[in-house]
This record gives sequence, C-alpha cells and structure tokens, in this order.
Amino acid sequence: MSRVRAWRNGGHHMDKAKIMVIDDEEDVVTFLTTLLEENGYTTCWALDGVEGMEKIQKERPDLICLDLLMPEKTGIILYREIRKDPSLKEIPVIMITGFAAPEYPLIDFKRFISKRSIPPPEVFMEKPIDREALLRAIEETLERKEKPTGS
Amino acid sequence: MEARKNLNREQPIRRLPLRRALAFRLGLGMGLLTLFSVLAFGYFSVTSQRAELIGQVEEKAHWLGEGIVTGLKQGMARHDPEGIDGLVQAVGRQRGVSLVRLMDRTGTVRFTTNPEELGRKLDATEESCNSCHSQGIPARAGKAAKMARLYSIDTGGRLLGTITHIYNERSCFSAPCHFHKEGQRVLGILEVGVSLEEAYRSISAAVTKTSLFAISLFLGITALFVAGLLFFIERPIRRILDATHRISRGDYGCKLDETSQDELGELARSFNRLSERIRTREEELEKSRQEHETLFENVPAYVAVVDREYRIVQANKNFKETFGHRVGESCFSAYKGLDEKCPNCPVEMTFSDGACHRSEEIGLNKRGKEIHYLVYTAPIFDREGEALYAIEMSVDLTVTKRLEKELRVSQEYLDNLVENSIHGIVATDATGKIIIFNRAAERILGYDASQVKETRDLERFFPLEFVQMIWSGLRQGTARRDLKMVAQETWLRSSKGERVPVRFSGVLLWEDGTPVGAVGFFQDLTAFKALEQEKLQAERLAVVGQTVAALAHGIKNIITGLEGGVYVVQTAMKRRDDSLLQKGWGMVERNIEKISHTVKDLLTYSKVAAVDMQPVKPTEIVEEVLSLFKDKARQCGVEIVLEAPADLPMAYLDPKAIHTCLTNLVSNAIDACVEDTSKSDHRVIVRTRLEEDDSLVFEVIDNGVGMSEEVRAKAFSSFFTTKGTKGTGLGLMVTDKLVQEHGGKITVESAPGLGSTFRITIPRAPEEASGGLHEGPGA
Repeated sequence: MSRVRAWRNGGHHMDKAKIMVIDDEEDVVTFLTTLLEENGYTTCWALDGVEGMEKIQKERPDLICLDLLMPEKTGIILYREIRKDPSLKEIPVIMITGFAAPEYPLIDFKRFISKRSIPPPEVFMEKPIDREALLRAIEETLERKEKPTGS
Repeated sequence: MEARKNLNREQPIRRLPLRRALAFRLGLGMGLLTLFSVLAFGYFSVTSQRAELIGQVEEKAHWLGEGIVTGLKQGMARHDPEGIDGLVQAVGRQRGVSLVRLMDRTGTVRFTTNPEELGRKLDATEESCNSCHSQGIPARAGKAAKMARLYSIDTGGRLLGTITHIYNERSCFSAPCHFHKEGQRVLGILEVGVSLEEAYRSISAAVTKTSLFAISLFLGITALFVAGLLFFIERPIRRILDATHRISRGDYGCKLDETSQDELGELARSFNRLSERIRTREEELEKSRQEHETLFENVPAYVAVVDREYRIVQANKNFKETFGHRVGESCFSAYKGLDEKCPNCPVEMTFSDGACHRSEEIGLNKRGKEIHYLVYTAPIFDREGEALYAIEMSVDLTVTKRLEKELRVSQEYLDNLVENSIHGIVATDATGKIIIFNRAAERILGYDASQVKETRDLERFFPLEFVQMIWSGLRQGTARRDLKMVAQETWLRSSKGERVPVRFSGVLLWEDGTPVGAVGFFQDLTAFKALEQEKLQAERLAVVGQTVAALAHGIKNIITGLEGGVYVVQTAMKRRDDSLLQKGWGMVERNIEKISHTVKDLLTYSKVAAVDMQPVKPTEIVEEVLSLFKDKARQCGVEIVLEAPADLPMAYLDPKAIHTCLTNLVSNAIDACVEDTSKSDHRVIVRTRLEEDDSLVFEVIDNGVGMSEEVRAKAFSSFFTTKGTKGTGLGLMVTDKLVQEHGGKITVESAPGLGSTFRITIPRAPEEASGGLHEGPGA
C-alpha cells in the first residue's frame, strides 16, 4: 500500500518508472514483471545478458533487476558494461542472486568489483524473492536516485 | 724374572794353577814315561853289558886257567914245582888277575898267589868250593867239571873266580913217579880269581851316562811337550774356553778361528756351529721371553703371581695401574682391601688341588672404586710338581657389567614399552618362533602369552599374507626392504574363533642384511569400529538434520516459485489476460514437478541402504546409461565417449545403484558442458577399468565449466546446487551414498574453466563373493 501511495504521490512529477528485469529463467521474469506492473511500474525484460544490453540501451530503464548467473553473458559482465557505459552508469541496479547459499558469488562478485574500482550495485536481493522486500528496495532506490537529480 | 737374572749372573773365569793344567799334566806324564823307558832300557842294557863283561872276564880267567893247567901238566911231568909256582905267580901278576891257586884232591892249597893260605886245606864251606860241594858231598864230576864253573870270591873287592878241574890223564898215571893212580878222575882244582873292578867301573860309567841321558831326555821331552801342548792344545782350548765364558755371559758375537785342519779346527768349527745354534736358540728364547713378558705386562687383564702365603710376588702393568704397586702385599688386601683371605678363594683351591679355578669377584681399585672381575687361577709348579705359586688372571668385567646393566635396563625399558603398548605386538625370532606376545596381544586375541610363546603358529596371529612373507623372507635369508605389510583394516581370529577387526602392520626385521625375525603390530579396531558405527549414526542424524533444513529451504524455494505462479495466475485472472494465465499456470506446474523430483530423489536416497548386490558386467551398465543420454547429448552438442576394456571381468554390485550414480554423473557432466561457453567442442568421456588391487573404477570426465574449490567442497552436500531452480541438489549426495554402500568412494578433480573428473572406485567384489563371480552369467 505504501509503495502504491508513494508511486501515486510522486506520480505527478515521475510518471510510471520503467523497470527492466533480466533473468534467464522465464518464470522469474514472468513473476517479476507481473508483480511490478501490478505495483504501478512499467516493465521490460530480457532473458540473457546480450539481449539485456541491447534492451537497456533501447529502453533506458529507471532501474534494472539483474540476475547474477546467466548463460551467454553473466550478470557480472553485464553489470560491468552498464557501469562502464557513461550513459548508463547512473541507472541503479538491484542484483538478484540465484543461489541457495549466495555467499560464493557475492564474494566473488564483490572481489571482482573492488578489483576494477567499480561501485557495487545499489541493492542485493536473494532468491527466493520476497515480494514486499523487493518492492520496498525498488521504491527506496528510486527515491534516492531522484533526490540528487531533482536537486 | 728372578730365575732369569740368576741364569745371567756372571761367573768369574778362574785361571787354572799350572799343576792342574792339562798341558802340564800331559807333559809331565810324557816326560815320566820317557824317563822310565830310558831308565828301563838303561837297566837292561847295563845288565846285559855286565853279563857280557863278566863273561869276558870269565873267559879270560878260563883261558888263563887252561893255560895254567897246560903249564902245570908239563911242570908236573917234569917234576918242576918251582916252574909251576913261577907260572902261577906270573899269571897272578897279570893285570886284572887277583888270585891264582891250585888245590889238590884233598882241598889243600898247593900253589897260590896268596902266600898266606899256602898249604891250608879248604873245606867244602869255603866260598870257592861250596858252589859245587854244598852239603859236604863230593862233587860229581860231570858237566860241571867239564865246563869251567863260575863263581866269585870276594876278597875285599869284587872278584870272579873260575875253577878249572885238572883231570887224570894217561901221562899223569903213567908217569914214572906213579904219584897219581889211574882210577882217579880229578887230580885237583885250579882257581883263578879275576878282579871285576874294571868291568864294574865301565858298567858304572854306563849307568851314569844312561841316567844323565834319561833325565835330560825327560826334561827336554817334558818341556817340548808342555810347550807344544800349550801352543797347539792349551791355547786353542783356552780360546774355546774364553768363548764359552763369553757365551755364558751372553756374548754370542765371538767366532773361533777355523783355519786349523786338525781336530781342534774341527772342534772350533763345531763350536762355532754350536755357538751359532745357541745364539739362535738364545735369540729365540729371548724373543719368546720378550713376547711372554710383553704378554704378561700388556695382556688386557690383571695378572698377578701369588705365593702360598697369598703374597703377590709379581704383577703386571695392568694390575699395577688399576690396583697400585701392591707387590709384596697379600692378594686379598691388594684386590679388595681385606684383612683376611676371601671365602671360596680360587687361589686356595688351586694350591690344594693343583687345578685351574675361576670365580667372579668384586674388588676395589686404587681409587676405591668397585671393580668387577672374573679371575682365573692356575698353578705354577716346581720341579717336584708342587704348586709353588698361583697365577691370577683377572678379566675386568666392570664395563661389561655396566653394559649388562644398561642393556638390562634398556631391555626392561623396551620390554615395558612392548608390554604396555596399547597395540598388540607379536614378534618372532629368525626361526619364526614367537618370542614376544605382549599384554595387548593377549587382550585382543584372548591368548595367554605363555601358551603361544616358543610356538610357530604364526597363522593364528598374523594375516596369511604376512605369514607367507615371513617364511619366504626367513628362508631366503636376504634383506628385502619390501617385505612389509600394512593393512588399514583386516581381521584376526581370537582364541574363541571370533573375528577381531584390526589395523595391522608387519615387517621383517633385518640386521646386516640377514633376517633376525618378524614383528607384527595390530590395533584393535573393535572399539574403533563401534565408534565408527556411532559416528556414522551421528552423521546420519546430522545428515537428517541437514537434510531437513535443506529440504525446508528447497521446499521454500519451490513454494516461493509456486506462490509466484499463483500470484501470476491471480493477476492474469484479474486482468483476464489468458497468455499471462498460461505462463502463471506453467510456473505452478513446473514447481509441482520439481516437488515430485525432490520427493523421488529423497525416496532414492532413503532406499539406498538396501543395495541389491549381484554379479554383473560393469560395461553393460555403462552402455545402458550412455544410451539414455545419447539424444540429449546430441541436442546439446556434446560428444560422449566410452572407454572400457573388452576384457573387463564380472563385478559384484547393485546394477540399479550404479546406474543411478552414472546417470547423475553423466547428467552433471553434460550440464557442465552446456553451461560452458568458453569452448566450442565439448566431450564427456566415460571410462571404466580394473585397478591392480582389483577395484573397479568408473570415471566421468568432462571439459565443461569446472568447479571452484568452494563449489567442489560442497559438491556432495545435500540440496547444494549450482543449477538454480533446475537442480534438486540431491544427485551427487545420492551418488556418494550409493558408492559408499558399495564399499567404495567417489572423488572429484576439477579446475574452473577446464572441466571436472568424477571417479568412482569400488571393490570389484567383496572377498566372500569372489568365488562365485567366475560362474556368473556371461563369465
């Protein structure tokens, strides 16, 4: 309810934020897009990193929900490309990890990030995805992003 | 040593007094012999000369007599008494004639040169008459009358008288005076006395000359002889004597002159040979003496000679160094510092029975430290065979004793180690006889050490393999380092016939390349096994706990997926969006399917405990599995290769279980290849082979993504998956479990980006079943 309100409250100046879902599992994409649309966001999606990059450049989303492990181009590589691209690096990323025990890739990932002095993603989320927590994280991230741009 | 000194004591050379010198004696004897010879010769010569002289005198007197008789007869015939008297007086005046007288038949002196006796009648006792008319008997004219009788008349001087018979002749009795009758034979006697002075004088001179000659000859010969003897005999003899003296003084250097060819030269040569032999002998003796002395002094023993009063008369260096200079002291005092004889004194026994004795003693050295020694006593006999001294030879046992003690201590230490080891220790000597059977071995196997020691029933205490090793090793007798056996898990039979699980290690013991025995160590695994069982139980419980937690997590995942699906379905229904509804329903369906998979794996896992072992051909199982994956592999662009030897023997295993294991591994391998985007050619190799230890190996090798160390470590944990929602996280766990139930193990090697190798190693057949395998189907 609060998120719907927040969206409605901010609706006059920020019309329907666009959120992009990138995950190799179709079920996850279906679920997340459905959830986000139900909560007043517009969505777009991709099933792998290559497609994801194309769509990001085309759609210019306000926020990206990125699955870490994907075939073809993993979430890590995609994230790096996003952050390296000056036109895209401001887009906040919620990194979703698909591990039951997520510490390994996260550690790897953080190590990877720090090595290349790339800022970490705004939020880490673990599967199975808690709907409430995801929505709250998206709302907070968008608000944080809005403030510096708005000021 | 004393005796030797006596022998060597120098004897002064005494000069013999001349009277005892051989030359003098010989010379004197020779001289005397000469003297007597000459004297005897002289005596006989003088005697014969005298007889000759007297004979000459007698002849002369006889001739005179005959002459007078002839003159007398003529005078008688002419009746010329004055003429006769004149003739008598004339003859009487002849030199050397001292008496001429003429007696008639009656013995009346008718004519004589001695006027005093003229007309005197001589009787038969008269010296001139008694030679014939002894005992007053008228002389029988005969032979005596024919020959002139010799006799001597001593008238103050030495005289020789000759009697000449005047026989009756025709002219006498036919003469005109008819004085003489015809029947008368002897008319008278004429006696002529001749002086022997001259003869005696010459004899005396001869005697004197002979005597002088004899004496001078005696002196000369004696002197010459003595000188010759002195020069030719005495001098060489003295030289020999000197040489013998020198030899007796120990100077063997002198050589006698051998040039002489006579007996003395021979003697000198003989002497030189003798002295040479003596010298050699003496040198040998000296050498031997020195050897004995060196031996005595340096023999590594305490040597002392004691007399019957137990006084030390001699001691060697070793003795003196250890006990001090105790010569002259009593042996008990020297050796032990005692005031009286030791009990059971071996010296006493030696003196009493003359035999050798030995005993072990403890003495004190000069610093008062205890000395253990073994003393041997031996008698030293004199010529009468009585033991004068006893020699004590003592061998120091102090070090030996100390070593013995140390050895004993170390032996006890080792014995203690062995006895108190918690592991069973059974050891044999070089003949395979059991000499060590420690308490732990007694406890573990239930035997009494005393029953099994000295036996060779190695089969009861060692695994058969090790027993064979022992016998072959001991028989060959050569060192081989590989003759040892380690069995992590085996079993031995207890005295009650029960199987006792043990960890066994056995080794043959060597010394200098020859076997000296064998030892087996075994650890009782009964308790360990029980513990292991407990641990397994605990692990199982832990696994259950983990499994439950992981299951809950997995189920939560699935439920989340389900919820997501339901949410999508609800949203689709709300929106009346059919395509979304379909998607949502698909999600629901897939999650339900996942639950079904999970349950199936769980069921498999729980059923694993009861594996159904049977003889099968491993290759058949592998081929079956690979045929299942043929299509999927082709779709994914993965080549599957089977590498199995054609002669792979039958194995005893659960075909379904192994099927499941291989299915899981091959499935994983294909997934890993699919996941890997770095390479274009992907291949899964399935390999089976038989190891040398008769274990069967299945390898599934892929060149897919590989695993990091962290992933590899967790690979066999339950519900761990890298496949996200696609895996149940149970496959490898189930595989591991199944392999364990076969008594095998599963290992994995992996490198990220290069691929993984999963290796299942299981025993081809448990021991009990191996017999039946060869009759298995298709075998």
